[in-house]
Amino acid sequence: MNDLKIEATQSTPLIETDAGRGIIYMEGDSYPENSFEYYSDLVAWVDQYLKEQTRPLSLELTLLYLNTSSIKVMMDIFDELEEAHHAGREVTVNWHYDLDNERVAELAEEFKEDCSFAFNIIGQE
Amino acid sequence: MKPNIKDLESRVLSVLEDIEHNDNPVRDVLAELWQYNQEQWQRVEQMVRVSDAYQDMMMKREKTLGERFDKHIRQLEKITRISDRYQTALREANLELEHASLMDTLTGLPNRRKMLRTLKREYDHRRQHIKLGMIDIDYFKRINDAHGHLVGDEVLIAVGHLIEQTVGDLGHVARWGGEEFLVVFTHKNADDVEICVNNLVREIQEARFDVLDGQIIQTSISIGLSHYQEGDTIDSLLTRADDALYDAKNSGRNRFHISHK
Repeated sequence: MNDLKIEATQSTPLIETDAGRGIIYMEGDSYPENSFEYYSDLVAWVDQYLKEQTRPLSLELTLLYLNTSSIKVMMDIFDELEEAHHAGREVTVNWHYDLDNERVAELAEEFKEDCSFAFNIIGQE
Repeated sequence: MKPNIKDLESRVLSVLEDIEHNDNPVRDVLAELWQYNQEQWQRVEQMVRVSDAYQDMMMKREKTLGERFDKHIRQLEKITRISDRYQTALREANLELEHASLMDTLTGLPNRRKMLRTLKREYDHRRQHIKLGMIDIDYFKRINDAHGHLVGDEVLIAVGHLIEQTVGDLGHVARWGGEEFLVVFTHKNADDVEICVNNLVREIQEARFDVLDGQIIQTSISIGLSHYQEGDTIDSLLTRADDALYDAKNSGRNRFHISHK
């Protein structure tokens, strides 16, 4: 399957997928004009990967600001991971944040709340 | 009394099966009626089955819709909560930035940007009461050269603090730049302001600033004062305060000079 490599801009994060290793990287702020359209490729990629592959999937996130529609997209992706997890798939989210910015960790905690798969919130110097 | 339908059915069937009744004219009619009855029963049973299936389908559908609805509500509540927190964090970060952009980090006094806002506000609302005091520490470079920048910074902090204390409610103080401070006096009484300016010069001259390593530093300030005059702009008020400061410096420092132009 085709991997994604979307460069970061001021209002959109870097998005990189690696189907071979089963990893998605996202890094930066997210407030695109139309989040649902902007993230449609990523959502489709996750869909296809979970359907066609049997390998684990891991999300490496270093996200700072998310607008409301980006929050919705992330929650939809986490819901899909949750379903896959219930079906016996190994899925992990590693949410990285700067130790100077505890607020990011608090927000990641909110996302984590409904997820029963491995959701790690990792502070970095 | 309720008819025993099973008993009736078996009696009808036995009559129909009995060859003795084959020639009886009622037999054919009974056989036809029996057949009709059987078909009606089958239709009723089929209708019950279809109706049950519909009910079952609707119940399942309602359950699915209900679950989807609940899921969306949960999602919506969560999105709202997260989004609210982001907004709160942004608002707080904005306030911090705004505060930082208006404060002088060394002295903790309002900075030039903040002072220009204050000045504009005062000018728009009560320009006729405005008196500007442009303050400069005398020979500040010598303090820096002789004792180093850290001591110079301590002196700036101490002088700024003392100016703020002395001015009190008579006006607003800001660090204007380098070793310069600006006071906007909004007090109506010009005599009170002049007394205050005089006090400022005296207070600073008499102060003994206890800085790093127990060193005692003495210094003085010069002040140029301008009063609002008809037709003044903020710029012209500042220029005249600057000119008056220049005059105070030229006539020996450690004093104030009032612009009379």
